Amino acid sequence: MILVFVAAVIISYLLGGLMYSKTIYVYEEDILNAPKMLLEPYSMDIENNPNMTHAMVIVPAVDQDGKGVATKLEVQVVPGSGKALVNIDKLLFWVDTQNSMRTARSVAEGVLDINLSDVDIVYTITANASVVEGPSAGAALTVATVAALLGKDVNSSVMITGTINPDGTIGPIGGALEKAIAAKAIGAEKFIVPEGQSVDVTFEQRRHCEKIGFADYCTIENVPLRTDIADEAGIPIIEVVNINEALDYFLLEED
Amino acid sequence: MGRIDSSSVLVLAFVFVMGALTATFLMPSQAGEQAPSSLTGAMIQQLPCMDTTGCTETEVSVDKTNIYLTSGCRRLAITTNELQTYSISSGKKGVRGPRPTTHDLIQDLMDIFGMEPLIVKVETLSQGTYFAKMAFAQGTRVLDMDVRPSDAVAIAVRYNTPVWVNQTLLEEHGELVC
Repeated sequence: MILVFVAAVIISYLLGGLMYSKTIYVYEEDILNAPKMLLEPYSMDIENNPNMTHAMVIVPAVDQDGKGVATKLEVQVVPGSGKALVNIDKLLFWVDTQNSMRTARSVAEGVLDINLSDVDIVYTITANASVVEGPSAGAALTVATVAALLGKDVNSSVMITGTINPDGTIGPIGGALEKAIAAKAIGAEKFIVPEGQSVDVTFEQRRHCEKIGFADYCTIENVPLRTDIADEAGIPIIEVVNINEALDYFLLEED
Repeated sequence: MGRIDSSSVLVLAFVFVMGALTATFLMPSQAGEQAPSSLTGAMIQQLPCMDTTGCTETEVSVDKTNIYLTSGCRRLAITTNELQTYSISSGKKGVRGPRPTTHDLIQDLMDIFGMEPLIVKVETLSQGTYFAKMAFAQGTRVLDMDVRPSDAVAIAVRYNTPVWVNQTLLEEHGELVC
């Protein structure tokens, strides 16, 4: 009798456990299917797309040791749906650089007066760095975007530094002299800079003290020192106001 | 009558020597010959940094990214960043955040080393950048230096130091607010 009672209790407990269990059973088939969608390869084969056009420009940069280094900007245009894509395979980008890419695409669209809703533009930067930041490659990115959209080669003997503004004007950058020296070191024959930046301005602190009445009166001023970049770097410097002026130096006419 | 004995000569000589010593070492010298330990208000007003000819004193206010220097119906807007406007705003209210700002640090250093700001003058605009000068005093030492307007204003509001603006600058680049 007791055994029957104990057996009944055990059976009830097991049945109740099954009824109220919240265990979710996942079949092997579901596990295989679920991530499969995520793992499907992206179908855009840019390199082998016969409709792909591309352009490349070299931008001078200065490394941590002050040595001139070449940064390669490559723009590929493929049939698509109006996306601006950034290749982060080897490099990561700060927001300001990504924003330059977005502006470059928008300005190129305006310069060429075309609609880019049926193409994707892929930006790839190759540099001896792990992260790229700053907007000073904006003008070069715009030149490369326009050249890629036109399917034209870029004059590799010319290099440019400058930000790009949404209205197509080229904005100021820092370190124009160092970049000009770097441009010459990596083979440029002409270097294009934003308006007013063919002269490098640095500031020197000057202190002067004198006795005025009972006061020991001192002044500190920051005096601008102007250096002609062309003389200092040994490379012709060309100032440009907007991207149209810059494109005249970069786009090679077809034979 | 009329005889001067030797004791009288000694007394006269003693009086003369003591007078000379007193005049030299004990009596205050004539104005301009003995340096004071600090400058009086009148002395400071004579210094070149305090020349406010062609300038007008302004009221300081800020929003998120602008400093406003207002005099009468003219208001000069100087664009800066949020860190600067926060520092100016908190300095004006006399409150401190959880960590000292750079200007709080400057204030502490100035207080400990006995420095006081004298004046701020926003003088010129060049290629879109405003330039200011600010003067400080420590005892008889005065420093008149080139500063960013936002830094100058951030320190000035902590001491109620007047902020002056070149009148022409205010009229040419200030907006009408009334």
